[in-house]
Amino acid sequence: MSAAGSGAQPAPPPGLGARAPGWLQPIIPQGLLLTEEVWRSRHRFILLLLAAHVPAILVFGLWRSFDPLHVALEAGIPAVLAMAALFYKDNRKVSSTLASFGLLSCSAILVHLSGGYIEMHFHFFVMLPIISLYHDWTPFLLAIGYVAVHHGVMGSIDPTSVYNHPDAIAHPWRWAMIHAFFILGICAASVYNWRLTEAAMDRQVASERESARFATALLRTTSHELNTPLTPLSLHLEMLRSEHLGPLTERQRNSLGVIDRNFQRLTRLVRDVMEAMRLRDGRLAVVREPLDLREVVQEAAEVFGEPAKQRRIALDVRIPEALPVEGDPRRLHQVFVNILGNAFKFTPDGGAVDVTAHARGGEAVVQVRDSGRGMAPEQVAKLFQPFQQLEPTDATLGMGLGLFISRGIVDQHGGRIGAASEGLGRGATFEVALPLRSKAAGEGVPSTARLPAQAAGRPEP
Amino acid sequence: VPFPTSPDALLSSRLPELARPAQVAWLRDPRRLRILIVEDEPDIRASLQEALEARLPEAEVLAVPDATEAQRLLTNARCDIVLLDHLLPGLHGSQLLAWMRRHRVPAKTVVVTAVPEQALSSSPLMLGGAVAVVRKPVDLGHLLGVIRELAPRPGAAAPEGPR
Repeated sequence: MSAAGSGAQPAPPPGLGARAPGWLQPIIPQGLLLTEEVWRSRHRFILLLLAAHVPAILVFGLWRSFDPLHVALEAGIPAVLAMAALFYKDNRKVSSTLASFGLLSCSAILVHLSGGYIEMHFHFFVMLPIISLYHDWTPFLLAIGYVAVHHGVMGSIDPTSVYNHPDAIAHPWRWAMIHAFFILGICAASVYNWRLTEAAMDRQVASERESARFATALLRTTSHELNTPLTPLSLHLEMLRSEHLGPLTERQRNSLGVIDRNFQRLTRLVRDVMEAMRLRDGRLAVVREPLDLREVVQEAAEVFGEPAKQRRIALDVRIPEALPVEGDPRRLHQVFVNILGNAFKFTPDGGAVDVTAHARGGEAVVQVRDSGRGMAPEQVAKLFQPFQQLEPTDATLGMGLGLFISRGIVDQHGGRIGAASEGLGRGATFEVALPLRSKAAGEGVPSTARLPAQAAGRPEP
Repeated sequence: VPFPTSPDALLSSRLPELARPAQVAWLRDPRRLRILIVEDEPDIRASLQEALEARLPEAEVLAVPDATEAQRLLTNARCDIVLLDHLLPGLHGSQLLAWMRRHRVPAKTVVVTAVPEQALSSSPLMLGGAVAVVRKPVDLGHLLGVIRELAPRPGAAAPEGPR
């Protein structure tokens, strides 16, 4: 396996588990845990530790009055292994095995230089959990083999350098096996430990994925199913209101008003959910046709003419020039109704909402400024994320999807949307910038693009 | 009406399925604007028909639940405007459009859908010859505006005055 250095999420190498027979699967880790990034940082730490052993062995050996050449040779072993591990750094298995081998050698060298002190074996038991950072079984296998062979061979050649009691000195291979057996125990415990962690993470990931899948499916089907009954409701409301089904009394008319207002609200909620789903799935797309952004903004502002009068809010629209852009009139209408709706929501009675637009640097820039309550900087930062509500308790605000959807629509037009506020109580400004249509592209509007858009394109108020 | 099991087989056939008469029929009045609603949801179908009949008394409005019924009505008679739900059992909306084009049915098709992306000129329905898209939930005023634009003769679907 080769290490992919630049991949965003390099796949971890397939663990032994992938090839292990069935009965071993529950105890052998699948090698899923370490990403390339995590592995590299652990490997760096272990190499540093290995390098630090080189001077430590030199000092210790000289202090123990060994021949300097002997000490240099002993210290050379971890140095060479560290360099070899660096040389093979793109091969995870080889590099980690070399580094692990180096650390275990350090244990053996220190035991040897100390003259076989039993306490020096503690070094080995510190190194084992450190090489277990690799989450790889190969260094462990190496550790078992290393201890068995090293103790057996060295115990035969120079018994006192590894053992310090008579029975071991008399039977070096028997005691090599006893040492190896305990190492095997540590290794098995570590490997099983990883496997348990992996299994727990697997279960967690699977359950998170399942609940996300369920939520998506639920939203998709319910929003579609909730949308279906809205058409007969809309049509029958219209027939009742227009008195095609008979004259209405004053009280019936009032009652219908309440029904209609709530029907409109339900329609908006269902539409927002469906739009947010499409946006998330990358299925939200816009019609592209030449249009004058000034007209779109003015039409959106007209929607608020009546509320402005009722609440004595000065709605001032100043757009000195035509703003030719290319886009979806219905979608852009939706964006500006949303932004103006927010401005009106947060502006107290008697306040002001100013709408200005002009061409600037190849863009049509529309600004909506209100004299409302404004926002703190941390609120501004979260404004265009889904489910953001300035005041979650206010039920009239809907679900907080409006600006999220607006940003999606503006993005689809290749434009920008942003907000600014000088702080709480000091009003807010929303800005939408769309690329201006160049003169050349503006000529010769294709009639095919126009027909459906004309028929379908008038936004409903 | 049992739905045909294979829409493709039905599309390619010379219409043996359509030999059976339709369950509803046009009045024999050549002057009236004819609107055909193809919609599988019964309440949407009935309320669209009722609302259009109320607001366009000069039009003749028929409503059918699936594309096969629509084919029966479009085979031998004039129809001006088809209001087409795009997700239908059996034949899909775009398949009905393909059939209409192959058999040179001159009716103008308005797609009625909850998916606004169907209005993109690159959508299968628009490529298949639909001339407009009306979004669900249907706003009657908006739908009437679309129908007036598409009505073949001026005055045939005269405005009713303010809604």
